Amino acid sequence: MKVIIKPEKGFGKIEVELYEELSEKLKRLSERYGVPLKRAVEIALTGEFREPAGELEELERKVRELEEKTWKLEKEYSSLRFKAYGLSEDNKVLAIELSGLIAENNQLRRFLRMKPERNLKLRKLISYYLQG
Amino acid sequence: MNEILISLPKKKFKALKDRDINALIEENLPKVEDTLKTEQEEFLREKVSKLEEKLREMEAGIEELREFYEKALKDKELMTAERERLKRENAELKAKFEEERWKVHKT
Repeated sequence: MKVIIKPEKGFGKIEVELYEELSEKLKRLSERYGVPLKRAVEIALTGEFREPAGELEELERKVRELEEKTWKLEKEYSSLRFKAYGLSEDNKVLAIELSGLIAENNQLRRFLRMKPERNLKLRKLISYYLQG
Repeated sequence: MNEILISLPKKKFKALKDRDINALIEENLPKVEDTLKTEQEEFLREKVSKLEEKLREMEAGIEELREFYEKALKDKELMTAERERLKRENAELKAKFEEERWKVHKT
C-alpha cells in the first residue's frame, strides 16, 4: 500500500510504500473499529493519540441489550397498534349502528308520546368514534 | 489503486520529512488502536444515549396506545350492550305503536 503525505498548504510530498505486514495490520485495525484505512494511518502520522476509558466491551454489551429491547418494543407496538386500529374500526361501525337505533328510538317515543331518552354518555361516545 | 493520500498541517508534515514512516507507523500502532478504541467508545456512548431516548419515547407511546386500547375495549362492551338494549326496546316500542295504531284504526 502506498501512502502519499502532503502538507495542507504549500508544496512537497512524501511517498512511502508500506510493508505488506504493516498494511495488513492497519487493515485489520480499520476493519475491527469500522473506520477507513486512511483514518488509521492519519492517527499514526499525526501522533494525536487518546486513551480509552476501558468501557468498550461494556458499551458494546449495552448497545446490544438496548437494540434488542427496542426491537421487542417495536414488535409489541406494531401488534398493539394493529389491534387498536381494528377495535377502533369496530367501534366506528357500532357507533353508526347506534346512531340509527337512537334515531329510531326517539321517533317511536315521540309517536307514543313518551319522553325521549337522553343518554349523554352514549352520545358522546358515538360522536367520538364517528369523528375518528 | 491501493493508495492513500494524507494531508497534514505544515508543521506535522515537516516533522515527518526525515522519518522512517514504516517504522513510525509500526511503533504507533498500539496507540492508534487505543485512539480508535476511544473513538469507538464515544460513538457507542452516543448510541446508548440515543437508544435510551428512543426507548423512553417508545415506552410512553406504548403506554398511551395501551390506555387507548383498554378504553376502546370498554367502549365496545358498553356500545354492544346498548345496541342490544336499544334493539329490544325499539322492538317493544314498535309493537306498542302498532297496537295503538290498530286501536285508533278500530275506533
